Amino acid sequence: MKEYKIVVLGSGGVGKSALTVQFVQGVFVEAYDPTIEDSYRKQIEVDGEQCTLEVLDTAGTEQFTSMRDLYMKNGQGFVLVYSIAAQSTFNDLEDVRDQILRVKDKDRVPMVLVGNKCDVDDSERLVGKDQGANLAQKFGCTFLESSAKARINVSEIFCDLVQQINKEVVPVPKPKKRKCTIL
Amino acid sequence: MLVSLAQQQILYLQAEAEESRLKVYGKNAADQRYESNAKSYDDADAKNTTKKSSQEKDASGNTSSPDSELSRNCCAHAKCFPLFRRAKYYRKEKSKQPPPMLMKKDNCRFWGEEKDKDSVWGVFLKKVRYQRPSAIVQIVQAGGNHNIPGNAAGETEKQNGSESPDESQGEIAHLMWETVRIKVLRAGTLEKVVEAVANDDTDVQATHLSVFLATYRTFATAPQVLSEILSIYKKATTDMVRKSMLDALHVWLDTFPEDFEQGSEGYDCLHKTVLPFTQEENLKSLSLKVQYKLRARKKMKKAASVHSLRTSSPLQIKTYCLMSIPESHFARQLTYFDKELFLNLRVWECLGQLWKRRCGCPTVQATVEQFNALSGRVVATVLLDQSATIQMRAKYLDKWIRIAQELRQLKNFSSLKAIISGLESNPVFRLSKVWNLVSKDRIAIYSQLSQIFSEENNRMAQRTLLEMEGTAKFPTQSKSPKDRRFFTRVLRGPGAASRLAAAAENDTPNGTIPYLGTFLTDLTFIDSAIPDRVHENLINFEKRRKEFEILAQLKLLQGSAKGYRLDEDPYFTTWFNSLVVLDDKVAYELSLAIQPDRNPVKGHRKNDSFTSNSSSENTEQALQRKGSIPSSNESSIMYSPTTGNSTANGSGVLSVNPEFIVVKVSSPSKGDVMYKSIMVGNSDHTPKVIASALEKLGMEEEDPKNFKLVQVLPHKELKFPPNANVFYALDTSVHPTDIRLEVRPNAASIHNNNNTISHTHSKNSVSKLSTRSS
Repeated sequence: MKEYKIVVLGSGGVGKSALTVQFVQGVFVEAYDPTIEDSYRKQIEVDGEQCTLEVLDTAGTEQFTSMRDLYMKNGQGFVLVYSIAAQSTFNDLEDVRDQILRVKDKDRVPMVLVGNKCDVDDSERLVGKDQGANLAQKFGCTFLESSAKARINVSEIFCDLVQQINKEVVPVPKPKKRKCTIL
Repeated sequence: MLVSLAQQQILYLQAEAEESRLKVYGKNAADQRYESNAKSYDDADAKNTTKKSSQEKDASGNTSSPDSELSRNCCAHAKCFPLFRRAKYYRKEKSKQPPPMLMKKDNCRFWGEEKDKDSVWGVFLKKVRYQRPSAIVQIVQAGGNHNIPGNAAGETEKQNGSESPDESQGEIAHLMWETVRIKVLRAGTLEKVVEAVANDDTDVQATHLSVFLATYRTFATAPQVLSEILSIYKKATTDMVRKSMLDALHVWLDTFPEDFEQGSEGYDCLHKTVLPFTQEENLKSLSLKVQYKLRARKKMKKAASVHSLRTSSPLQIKTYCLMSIPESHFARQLTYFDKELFLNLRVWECLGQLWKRRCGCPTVQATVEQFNALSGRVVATVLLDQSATIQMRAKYLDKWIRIAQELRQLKNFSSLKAIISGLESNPVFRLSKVWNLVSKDRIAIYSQLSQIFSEENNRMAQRTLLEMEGTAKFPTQSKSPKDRRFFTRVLRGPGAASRLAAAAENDTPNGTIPYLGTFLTDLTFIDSAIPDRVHENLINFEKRRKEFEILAQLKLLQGSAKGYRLDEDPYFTTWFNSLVVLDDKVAYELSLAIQPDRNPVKGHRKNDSFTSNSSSENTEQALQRKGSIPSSNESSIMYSPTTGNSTANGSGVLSVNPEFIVVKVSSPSKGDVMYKSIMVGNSDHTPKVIASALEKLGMEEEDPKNFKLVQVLPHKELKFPPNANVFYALDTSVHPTDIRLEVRPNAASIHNNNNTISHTHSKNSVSKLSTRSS
């Protein structure tokens, strides 16, 4: 069973935690407890393969800015979330993405850009779908609009990320022969 | 060892004293309670904790244990070593099962739910020691084998208390237990929520009040609550209700004076609605009390402002620099800041809903700022100073690690985490050339410290440590002398054993300062996961209860933080505040200037270093590694050369004796996909590991003797002897995050236990599936 470490990032109040809870927990459970070991662990099937996802959500600690690097270092795939009802949360993401690339020291990292709260009325929408799509194109990543509340595109985010991670990891040929080395 | 035992004893006794105080308070109802100032809130906290622990007790003991002596011990135990988490495991398992018909809760059985238009109540039947009929509570039924007709018509409930040995000595003698009916508010309108403060059961009443006062800000304003209390008071038909309302106001004033600060809505409202009542008989005392409180508060404020004037005066007589300040002094000063911030923290500001809005949470904000300030200063001190050689920078790193060590000793997890974050922030972390010059021992200690805050398994290491040490006076110490030596080394550096002993002798009490972020995350998640309103717009009070559990932990830790004896060094403060903090991008550029990107062809370096390191692993596994030490191909001559990235919990550290290692455990019948993580300490032997594995897997009813422990390796299995030191016996050649153990029933005991085992397992796995499949 493969394990994937997913990190959910985004400004405060974009509904990250709701998205994570919706994904990990699914239905509303009365005895929900965020403090136990496997609160954020979930098994899903992607392309016919079972895998375990460990979701690290930074909700509530967005302002501990020095912690971000730490989160990023440990993640394999990233969900960048903004709220379509708050422009500033959208603008913040470019910096976040730069930081990820710096920390990972790569040009490309498995990533999904998510415009959350797509259940709001059109009158409240401030970030257009095309804006999101353009940014995703710039990032070279997948774009999805989702709603934790209406359960739209929640598991899709994570499935896509797993696929991206799978694609990224090209099987490395094993060393041809293992030789005994006498020191 | 003896010392720590003695401490436990003392804590135990203190807890018992506390407990008996609670008993008294239970009997004399509210009277005494509110006299003793803010104590009552703390009492309620303690109750909250004890409740959980007895719940746990019940869970393990299948039938509800009626022995109050036992539960007292258990309460005392909980007070010393809060068992928040273990109780929670139990709850989680519980929740996965189909809705329980009988829910056990603190000697309570869930009986049913009562609904009306504007409230929903959970009804419990609680077993209590029998009191003479004059008792205030509503008796449903009592007696050993004799049934005394209940006076609550229509509600009969089987009594299952213990039978008194001297049953024949008359009727009263064997009335050991009685069952009382308790109503606990689950949801309701604001009026009902306030009204529920008046409850027959004093325990329920105190808890409800504490939960209410700590969380009401999420659903009402102070004036709303105030007017609700007064209107209920005026309408009240019984003395009990009137008294409860007055008590509620008293406690509110005592525990949350900030709600009535001058200029706040609460203050105005108080002046308009309560103060004019000096003429009315009942309200007179309240009114006077409020006036007195407000005056006292004003005085305190004046004193505080004088104090702040004194400290803010410019002081630049001594010139400090990072390297010249002794680590212990540095750490103590940081702890002084944190202690002040933590004691001033208004825990309710941490509530997900309030913190998310980022308004009116100045005390949380201040904590966050101090955290960032420290991390930022760590980064800046290492990167700035353009003339510094890499040797010098390595000394800076070394210094910060030493300070972190001191912070660990002081149990200041907030600053400890801030320093670790600073060191692990990319601009510093990537400087492998500098890191390579830090001594091997220091790096090992650093890995240990950083492992405390591993995000692995929902931050299990951190939570467990906090649970163990939260209210203890000293950091936990290992048993064997050899380990203890290492332990003191981790804590204070070489030669610190004597200092530690001296500290213990003087009994300098230490508090604990937790890293607030974990609490903020937990509360944010509770807020997202549980709806505010249920049953057509009723306030979901169950949610508030859950939030309060976490706030109560913070409250408890705040209590322990009072134990710090620290004085401020104003010179240090001035110096610390004068340090520069760098912008992210500037820091990165400075970092590049110190060590340029060696490999301009991006995207390959990381992978290369991973795969070249271990031919047996595939890349995904390699990618899952948690970095803790900067990896570099050049580092091969240094400490833990090829597995640089895994030293945090890997074999590299084993050579210098870490305190514990995190392993995955599963049981064959649970399917190998579901595992739990446990910590294996370096003095843990097979039986203890089996026991903790069983507990974690929700199989605590099983007898550990019937199980054996096996390490699952890619091509073989390693069976542990019945009394091996598991920590040292583990095969650590595999990837450190991939150490898997299995507990298996012994062949001999399979026959006896097969049924029960498979039963438990299937139940667990089914319930697991049901929650996970969606």
